[in-house]
Formats: sequence, C-alpha cells, structure tokens
Amino acid sequence: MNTVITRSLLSLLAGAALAHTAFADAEIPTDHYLRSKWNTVSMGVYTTEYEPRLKIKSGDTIKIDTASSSTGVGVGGDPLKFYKDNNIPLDLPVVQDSMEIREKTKPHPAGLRGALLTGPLYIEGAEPGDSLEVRVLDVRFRAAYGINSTAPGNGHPLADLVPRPWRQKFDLDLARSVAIFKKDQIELPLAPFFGQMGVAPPANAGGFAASPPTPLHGGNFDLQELTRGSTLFLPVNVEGAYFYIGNGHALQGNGEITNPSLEVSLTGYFKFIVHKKKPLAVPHMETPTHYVFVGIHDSLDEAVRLATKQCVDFLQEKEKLDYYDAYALTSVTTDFTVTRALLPAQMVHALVPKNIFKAKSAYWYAGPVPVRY
Amino acid sequence: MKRSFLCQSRLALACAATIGLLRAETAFDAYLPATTKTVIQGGVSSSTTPAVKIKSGQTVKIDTLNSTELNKEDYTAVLKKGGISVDTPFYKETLEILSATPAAGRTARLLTGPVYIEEAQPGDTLEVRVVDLAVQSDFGINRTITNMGHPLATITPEPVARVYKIDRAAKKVLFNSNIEIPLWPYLGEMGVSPAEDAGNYGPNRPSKTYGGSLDTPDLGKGASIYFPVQTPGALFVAGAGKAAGANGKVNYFGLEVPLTAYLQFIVHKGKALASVRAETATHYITFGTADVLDVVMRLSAIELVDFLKEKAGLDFFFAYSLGCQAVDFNISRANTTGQLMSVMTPKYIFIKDTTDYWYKGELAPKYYLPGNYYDPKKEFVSFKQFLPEPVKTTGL
Repeated sequence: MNTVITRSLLSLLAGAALAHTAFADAEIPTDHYLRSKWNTVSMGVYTTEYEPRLKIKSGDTIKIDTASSSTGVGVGGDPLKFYKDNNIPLDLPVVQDSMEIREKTKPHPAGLRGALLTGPLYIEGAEPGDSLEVRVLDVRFRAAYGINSTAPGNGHPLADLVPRPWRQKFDLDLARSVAIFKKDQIELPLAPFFGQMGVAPPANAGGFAASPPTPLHGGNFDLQELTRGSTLFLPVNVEGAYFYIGNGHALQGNGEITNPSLEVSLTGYFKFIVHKKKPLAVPHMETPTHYVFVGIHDSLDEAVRLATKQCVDFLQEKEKLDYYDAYALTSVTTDFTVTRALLPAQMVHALVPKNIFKAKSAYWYAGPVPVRY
Repeated sequence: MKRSFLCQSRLALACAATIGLLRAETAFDAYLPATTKTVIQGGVSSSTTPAVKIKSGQTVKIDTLNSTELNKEDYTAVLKKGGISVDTPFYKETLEILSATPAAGRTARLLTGPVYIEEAQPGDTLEVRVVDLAVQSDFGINRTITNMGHPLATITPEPVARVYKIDRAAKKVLFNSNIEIPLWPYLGEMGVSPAEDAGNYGPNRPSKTYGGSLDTPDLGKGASIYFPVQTPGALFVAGAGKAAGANGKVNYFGLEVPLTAYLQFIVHKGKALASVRAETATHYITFGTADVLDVVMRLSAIELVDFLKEKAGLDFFFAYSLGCQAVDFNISRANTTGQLMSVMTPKYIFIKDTTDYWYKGELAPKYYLPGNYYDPKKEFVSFKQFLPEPVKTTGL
C-alpha cells in the first residue's frame, strides 16, 4: 500500500525514533480511501462539473490523499529538474501521483485554476439547506519536505518590496515533528493542516477557482486551527455537497504573509456528518479549546467587523445574552488574529475560548493538539 | 526544554500557592499612589512635572485608577446602578480626579505618573519589567459605546456601561452564573513622553515611538516592554488597567479595573531603538499601528522582517518566510482610532538561543489550555483512543 512505502521511506529519512514512528505508522481504519490520482483530482476548481470520485454516507470515515501543487504539480518549467535540484526522491508515491497528474489531468475548460484539490467527494443525503460537518481525525505527511515561496505583486503585505520571485525547500524531521528552518539554529514545530476544504458553489454560480475563500463554499481558509481534532462546518449548496480538499500546510503563523505557507502533501483522516436543514450563512469551526468564527473580505477592517458580528450573534444565542453582554464578553475574552493577509479575500478569525463556560459541552476529541504559541 | 520549563513553573506555582508565598507583597523601592497630584488625563509631555524620581534598576509600586473615560456624573451613575459604594478605595480617588475636570464631555484615560528615571536620556532604551500586578476591586466596568470606530460602532443602538463582579481569591471574573473568565490583569496604557518637538502624547492612541495605548494582554505579569527614550528622564506613565481582556478589545474596553503595578525600570545606555518592542517568557513582540488595518498589517510585516533579520541574521527572503511560517499577527486594538497589531514570534524556535529571561512564573491562562503547548512526545501517542469506533476498510 502507498502509505506503507511512504512511511518506511520517511522513517529512513528521519533516522527513525522507534517509539515515535511505531505510533505514527499505525494505520487508522476508515470506511473509505480516496487517493490523489490523475482522475480523482481537480486542477484547482470547486464545481459540480466533475463526476464524484467517491460516494459516501453521512457518518462514514475516510482517508484522503492530497498532492500539493507547490511541491510538484504546479512548479514551472521542468518538474524533473525541480525534483532533482531539491533532492526529492522520484519514487515517493506523491511524486509519482504528481507527475501523472501533470501529464494527464486536464485544466478547467473555462481557464479557472488554483491549488490542486482531491475530489469531489459526494456525501449521500446532503442537500441545499443542510450543513456538512467535517471532523479532522488526523493529518499526516506524505513527504518529508515543504516549499515556501514569495513573489512580487502577489497580494501579500510586502508584495511591492519583494525584488524577485523566491522559492525555498525546507526539510521536515518527522520523527522529532519539526521543520528545519535553519540547520542547528531555527526549528519550527509541525502542526499540519489543510489550507483548503470546501464544497461546490450553487449550481447557478458556476465553478469557483481554488484561490480566494468565500462564505458560500469555504475553500482557501489557510486556518492553522483546522488541524487534528478540529471540526469544520460548511454550508451545502448542491445535492451531494461535492467536497474538495488540498493545499496542505506543514505549519503556519496567523497572517501567512509570504502568500504560500510551508506547502506540503498531506494525507488526512476524516469523518463526515450531514446536519439536515441547518443552513449556514458562513462556515465556522470548533476545536477542543475554542469556537472559531471567520470574517472574509478584501479589507481587514471589514473582515474584523464580520467576525465580530458572528461572535456576538453566537454568544447571544448560546448563552441567551443581550447584545451588550455578548459584545462585552467578546471584547474581554475573544482573541482576533489575522488568518491570511492576502488579497483578494483577506481573512480574520476570532477565537471564543471554551474554558469560560461553566457547563462543559461534549466534544468528540480530547487528545493533544499541536502548539499554537 | 521550554516545554518542561512550563511544567516546572506550574508545579512551582502550585507549591508557592499552597504555602502562601503569593500573598507576600512584591518588594519595591518607591511608591506612587494615585492622587490628584500624580494622576494625569490623556498624556504626558516633556514639561510635565515628575511624580517620582528613581534610579535605573529600581522598582516602583504604582497605583492606577479605573479608566472608563466617563465623566464624573456618568461614572457615579454607573457605580450606583452596579450597587457599588462610591467610597470604595480607588473609586473615591477616581471621583476626586474627575471632579477636577469639566462635568460634560468625554474624559481621557487616567494615567499615573510620570516616573522620572535619572539615567535615561534620548538615544537610550528604557526597559519596563512588569514584576507584578494586583487587581484592586471586586468588580470591573465594561462599556459599549457608539463612537470611536470599533467594529460594531455603527450598529450599537446606545452607549451602555455595565459592572461585572470579580472573585479575586479565585482569580476569576464572575460574568454571570454560567460564565467565569480567568483573571489575567494587564495595563492597557504604558508610555513615555514624546520629545519636546514631536507633538502630543495620545490620548487613547498607540504610538510606535512612545507606546501609549498598547492594549495587549500578553503585556501582563512577566513582560518586558522596551521604549525608545525621547526626553531626559523618559517620563513614564501607566494606566487603563484591565482584570481581563483579549486581542481585539472589540467593544473598545476590556474589563476596566484599578490595578496596582510593580514595575522595574532599567535604562540600557546608548541603545537606540526605532520603535517600541516587548518580550515575554515565551515570545518576542513587535507592533504595528495606524488607523486602517491593512496599513497596520503592512507596517507590522515590515517591522517584523527588520526584527527577524537582526535577531536571526536572516536575509529579507528568509526573514519574510519565517514570519509566514511561525509568527502570529494578532489584532490587539480593532478600532479605527489607532488600530494595533501585536506580532508574536515564539522563542522556542531559536533552538540554540540560551539567553536567560528574568521571569519564570505564571503565564497567561490561555497558555494553560490542555495540550496548548508543544510536546513532541504527546504528539505521537494516545490519539488513537480519541478516534471513533473502529470501522472496516473498504477503499476505493
């Protein structure tokens, strides 16, 4: 099986810390497995134009492979040269997936493009007006390297100060769970998550490029909270939902200033649950420690306003507070942070802590979570 | 190493609490009570008479008053409605100060000071260590106002001020019968005097050069704030204490209380600094401020890149990349009258940096959330038990 090969390769690369890899190697049993093959991916579009790659039921668990465009499929020029220059073994399953995708998968006919996504996944019984709960059971690496880059003019905060395009490979030490930023000096704890999870927009809206996030389809959240143990609630716009996923990040600071993050190819384990007749105006998230609300807008000021309004509405409803108590509680307890400072569609998220509520509500995950600070 | 330090410090703290060490008052060299002579409204200038003169290295106990920006009349009404006697310590002083100002109109933040530090001269850096903070009342005030450009200012029907109870022994804000907020006091305002020819201090705004309304919860106990000294003596002021607050401070107020601060002042001679910076046991903090958040974001990114270049010897690209991968841009003040981001670079990423930090005590409550710190061993164990019931694999 793909995973077995990948894992053993990774163990070799990492120099193997036995106790750790033994646990990391343990496969999680799931109902389904969706690979990132040339005919199970989308070249960066959320749409109903592609045939569902797999049909699952509400309550099913699934393992999904993704291939990162930035680490293979999407690199300009000769991909073989890219792999060779960066010392990336060609026999990694994700590299083989990527080369085949590059060769065989057709771009969207209307020219829409964005990050490479795996999907669509069809969830039986999901209909417009429902919401789709996605539980992130685990996130694992498919290769022990990540790519970060930046380029002039790319809508990030210093887009005009970047003199030329820049791209850098960083090695990951999976046994120790760190990215080696600068050898023997700077190491970053890994906290992998999928930058993109979303559904097809309404049928009359056409396809959405996998670039800016929207409240309608979700997509490019770049939200570091969406790691193992988190839950994402998405609106359902079409029958079957048509879920797509990709754009793996090894870790990220809130802000994602260079535009891409530390891009990696990830495998995720999920559970999907359809909530009938629960329409959602905006996606929201939950972690073991926080309720998370987002504001998406080209202006950060407006993004903060949208996120604030959601927190106040949530607290008014959850705790039966009046507007002033709910706003005061938001002000005194809720951290606002920049998720992605990138045009178009910048995003801010607000973290309402759970530890302030005396009545503890049940949550499906109580395990360790990666570092936030 | 840093992780085990967290565990140890929690253990130490638990022991200290049991044997009652925490009740002993923190030592200080000078005391600055809040009186009509030591409390100023709005700001400080190079011509303000010092309230106390100290030497570098000394610790000052500073009383600060509840800074609700209400005038005397409204302030009295809020206390009365909240069932609070106006004779309560610190509130009595607040009333005296408010009596000296016009009855109508909004008032500025009440600041205690200025502290004159003898060695401080323009071109030096003043380090202010937050040694300890004590909440001085059993209630705090939060206001929702209809101006000042906070996110929901335009949809707020009317200004409202409310009183919330505090249980100081249990270190909690008793928000209502269902909600309790962990106490984490911090000073919303810490600043030095601008240079004589550099315009006015604030009021109620943050500044890159003199600090002021920094409003960052991470600047609680254990933080060091570094100010560029601009006038002889530096002339430091503090106020706008909060019993609890969060990044964003979205309705323009935290839970405002009178705080007694124990601050140590250290002058770093000949160390010029272009803008205010800070440090905690866990993070380096840089700031960015402007009225439009997109501009704040850009200024914060520039400041961060400068900091990382200097701190880690990185070139522009690597500094920018590290900022992307490891640094959080928190929105500490979300209101269009001076927005502020606090930019948090974690210290643990610099694995060879063995610089000792002066503070090893309690961290903000959010750092205690279960699993909310990095532990590589925990990363890989025990998650299996949290998965749903075992299921069969069918595959594609």
